[in-house]
Amino acid sequence: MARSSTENMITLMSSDGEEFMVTEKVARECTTIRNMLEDDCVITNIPLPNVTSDILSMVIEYCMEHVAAAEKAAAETAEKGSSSAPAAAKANKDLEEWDKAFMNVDVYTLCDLILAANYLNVSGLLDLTIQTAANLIKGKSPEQIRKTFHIQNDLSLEEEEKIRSQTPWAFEKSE
Amino acid sequence: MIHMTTQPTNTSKPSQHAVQPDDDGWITVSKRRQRKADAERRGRIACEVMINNLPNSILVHILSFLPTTQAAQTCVLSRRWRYLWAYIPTLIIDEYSRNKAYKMKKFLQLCRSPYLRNVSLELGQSADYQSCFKWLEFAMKHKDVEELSLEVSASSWPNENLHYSLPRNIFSHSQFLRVLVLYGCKLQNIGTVDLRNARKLSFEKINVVGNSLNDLLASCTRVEILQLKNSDSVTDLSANLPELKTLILICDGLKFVKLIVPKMEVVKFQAYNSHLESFLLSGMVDLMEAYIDLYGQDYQGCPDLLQYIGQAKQLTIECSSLEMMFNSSVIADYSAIKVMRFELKTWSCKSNLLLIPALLKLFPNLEEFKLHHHGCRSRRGWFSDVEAEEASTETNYGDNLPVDCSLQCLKRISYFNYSNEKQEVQLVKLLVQNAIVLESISFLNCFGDFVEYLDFIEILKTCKASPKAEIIFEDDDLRYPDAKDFRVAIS
Repeated sequence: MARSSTENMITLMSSDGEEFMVTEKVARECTTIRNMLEDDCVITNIPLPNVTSDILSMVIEYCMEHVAAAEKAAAETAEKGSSSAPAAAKANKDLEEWDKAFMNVDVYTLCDLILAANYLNVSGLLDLTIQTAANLIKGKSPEQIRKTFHIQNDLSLEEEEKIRSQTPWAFEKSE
Repeated sequence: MIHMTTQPTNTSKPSQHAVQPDDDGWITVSKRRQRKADAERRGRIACEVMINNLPNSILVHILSFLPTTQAAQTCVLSRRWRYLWAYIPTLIIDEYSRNKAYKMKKFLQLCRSPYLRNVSLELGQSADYQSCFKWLEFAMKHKDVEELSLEVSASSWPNENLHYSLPRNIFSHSQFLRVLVLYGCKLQNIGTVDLRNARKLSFEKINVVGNSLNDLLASCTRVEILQLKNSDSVTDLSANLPELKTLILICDGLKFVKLIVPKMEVVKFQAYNSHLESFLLSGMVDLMEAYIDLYGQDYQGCPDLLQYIGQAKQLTIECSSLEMMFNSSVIADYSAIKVMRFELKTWSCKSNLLLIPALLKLFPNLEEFKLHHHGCRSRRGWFSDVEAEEASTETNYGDNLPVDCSLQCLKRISYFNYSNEKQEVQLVKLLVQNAIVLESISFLNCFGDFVEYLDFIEILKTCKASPKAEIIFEDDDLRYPDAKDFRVAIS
């Protein structure tokens, strides 16, 4: 990871005791951490008891990629004096591709990432993971959704039938 | 159907993986890795811990991206999901669902969210418009709708008279609306409008009767993006939009345009075969990019248009011929423009390339010139041999070209679709000779074998050019061993 020595480094500690050194800029992508830093600016070591090391490393990877993309765009704007639309569009597309590849994970990891993004308040990652989860549900029957997300059905057959008959408008077949 | 026995979920969990939800619904799992490793052994149970970790607010958020009927179907997933769907702040009815009005009614009756972040309706051919619009009106008046996207299928009317009119006063209580997207509706007698917080307006294929569009725009004082596409019934557009940053106008019927847009940064204007009579944009000081496409224009309103566009820093022009740039009675001032992309949409090689040096003369401070040359592909058989012959025997204008073509600032040239025709060689040669501070000239998507270009490179090398200038071929297709990212220093 390339970084200038002048930047403040922050240590994030995962629930299983692993330490991650990140630049302050990357750490500030997490609104939760940004608020901590703003409350107490000398803080350098932040324990995150709710995030495991494998998930934290993914969150950091996401933040670093997005910080780098934003810096690159800002540098280009500064260099040319104005932003060029095709270049910006291409950079956006690249980042979208990266996000898409980043979301190629199993449902366990996806749910853990949603929780971590929610806790650390990384709005971009939260939107991305939630949209991915929604896409996994889209077009599936309730039975398929249960299977995908391993939801245990605690309703009896009779109860389920009753609920279905109470909301007939939701269960009629599409054209 | 597989039916799971009903039992409280927490009794089925192994004790060493007990979860402790705290106040925020956040759940701590001590050893996630181990849990993952032996997830198979515990199978469903561990998985269920996983999905149950998500707090209700997140599950509702996930459901809010689904079509409303599908979101409602999740009520049978398990006890926990029974009523979650009723809290979603979105109403999404897609084109394929039946009984749209009934579904809208049921959702709006049962919905517990006080606001609706997004209402998205695709009303296809078979929709009962009267009822759908009635329920839309109900939603607009009783819920705080932030985003409305209404699509009326274009194939649902045989003629224009059957456009479906939006209910009168539908926007009378829309002070929370931020985004409004209308496709294929009719605007007539719009009544009272309150769109004071609208930031983005997008209208496509709408049928505008009388002054209703301008009436609607009159209340949109904070709009930043305005798109109007393929709405040929719009002839007259006039508004005061103090916050507008991006304007996209793709309408063939426009005659009079009068917009007060002091903060405009990007404008895209496209009109084919239209009869633009006047085009007034007032107060632009921040214009960064302008994109105009005037294929087949009769140029009446062009002097106005080009004059305003001249303040941009970047300019893209697409047109069928260059003559239009000179036909204006007023020659616009293009001295602010630093980057220009020129797209020639032409099926004739004649005259257009000849005019480029004269065109560049109008841009004294141009730093980057991008030329996209569509057409003139005689070698690939786009034209008959006769035409190709005609084109290549066109006057050899090498010596007749204006030598002082004002390229004092030009640093970068890129040429898309270069095919090494005689005229093109001469044009490039002229550009290289005159651009005294040239840094690079790039050729993209070249035609033919690289071998054919060796002579061309030799010609360029002999040009009197800036000492820093280099030729770049950014082309994977050019069949030459080192052709990819091939660089040659001129001089």
